[in-house]
This record gives sequence, structure tokens and C-alpha cells, in this order.
Amino acid sequence: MEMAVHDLESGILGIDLSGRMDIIGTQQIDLKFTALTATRKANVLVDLSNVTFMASIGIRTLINNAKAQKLRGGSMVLYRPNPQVEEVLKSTGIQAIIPIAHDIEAARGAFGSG
Amino acid sequence: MATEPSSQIVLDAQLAQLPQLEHWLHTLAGQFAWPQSLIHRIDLCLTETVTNVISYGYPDGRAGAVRIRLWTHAGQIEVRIDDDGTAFDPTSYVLPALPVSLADASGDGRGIRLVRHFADEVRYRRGAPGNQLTLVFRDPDNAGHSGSRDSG
Repeated sequence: MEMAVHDLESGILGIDLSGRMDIIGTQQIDLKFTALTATRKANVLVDLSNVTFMASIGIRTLINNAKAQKLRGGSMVLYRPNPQVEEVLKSTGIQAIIPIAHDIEAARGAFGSG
Repeated sequence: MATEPSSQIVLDAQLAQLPQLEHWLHTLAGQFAWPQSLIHRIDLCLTETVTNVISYGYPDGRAGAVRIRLWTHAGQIEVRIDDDGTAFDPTSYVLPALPVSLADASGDGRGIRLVRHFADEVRYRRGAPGNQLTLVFRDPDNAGHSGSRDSG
């Protein structure tokens, strides 16, 4: 897996993930992803549009870091998953605990509600 | 099942073998021209199952083997995973309730939940060599013909 980081507007931290988020792919980004998303307060927008495959281990990484971020007073929003990845997320109930957005306006709103 | 599988692969019980599983499956998918949604369902269920077997089935670090066989039939694909690891029946595992908050989200059972959601049938049998899990995936778009083919 690969990961790119960039600052978006007004305090939103953008993290673009790409590749296959199975156990091998997740191990490749896990430490850096945690360092970026869970060690300081931020509104983290995790762009999943280039994630081609999401396994349970990938969901666990998202949840663990969203949980840590919430404890710091920030929040995480999952952005633009493809339909297959979104079905995986929804079948495990993730949308109820980490918002999923498909446009930046919805993402802003989700941060506001978090 | 008495008939020869359309294809099979045997993996060492090591996570580093997972890319071979992915390659095997996607090669088959190309040969049989499966639709993308079907490929994804099989890929996800196989990845979850084999990852779980390798991660928890050999706690003492001993060597092991995981055999995956696949049969194509008219309108459905059957995948059977045999391993010689610790006995575990994912069909009898009681799933926790879906989380309602981040605070109560645990890591337990998510892979099994995915397999139950994306496979049309999940059957378990404990035999002499070990665990045997059978997954069935229906493909209604190809119910009119058998996809069977000699894959060599």
C-alpha cells in the first residue's frame, strides 16, 4: 500500500491511501498512518478512492486510529470509498461509528457533527 | 465432492504466501471471465479465511499447509479450504452486536461477519486432517451454462 499526506483547508488533514488493504498492505502503512492520524488532534479525511480492497484488518486499523483521534478531541471521516469497499465497510457497521462522505461538503458536515 | 476441482493451490501456513493466493484467484477469474463483483466476493472471503487460519491456527509456530480447491458449476462457484491447524468452526461463532459507538467497537469477529455476508453458503466440517470450510458463491448471471473448464 501507499500513503500520501497533505493539508487541506482549515485544519483538515488529508490522507490518501491506495492499494490493497489486506494484512500485508495494512502492515506497510500502519505505523505511519497511526503516527499521522492518532498522535495529535486533527480532523482527518482518509481518502479511500484508490483503495481497491478492504479486509477486516484494514477496518481494524481505521477504527483504532479513529478511536485514538476522538480521545484527542479530533475526528476522522472516510472519503469516497469505491462501491465494493463501501459495502465491506457498511456490512460491518462502520458507517455508524466513522462517517463516510462522498463530497467535501458532506465531509465538512461530518467533521462538524463529530 | 467427488469431481476433480477446476483448480487448486496449496500454501504454506505463512502470511507471506497471501499474494500467491491473490494471484491464483485473479488468474482463474481471468480464465473464467467472472464479473468483478463475484471476484471481489471470493477474494474477500478467501483472504479473510486464509488470513485467519494462518494467524490463529498455528499458535506454536509449527509448519502447516492450507489447501484451497475451487469448483465451477452452472451459476455457482464452490471453494473448499482445508487446513491442519487448530480446530475452529467459524459457522458456530457467535458474532457480537454491531458497534454503535467507537468506544464499543471491538476487533472480534469482523472477518467472520464479512465471510457470512459475502458468501451465499458457509459450511464447516472437522475431518481427520483438520478443518474444512466450504464457501459457495452464486453467480445468477451465469446460471445457464457451466463454467467448467480444464485449467490444467
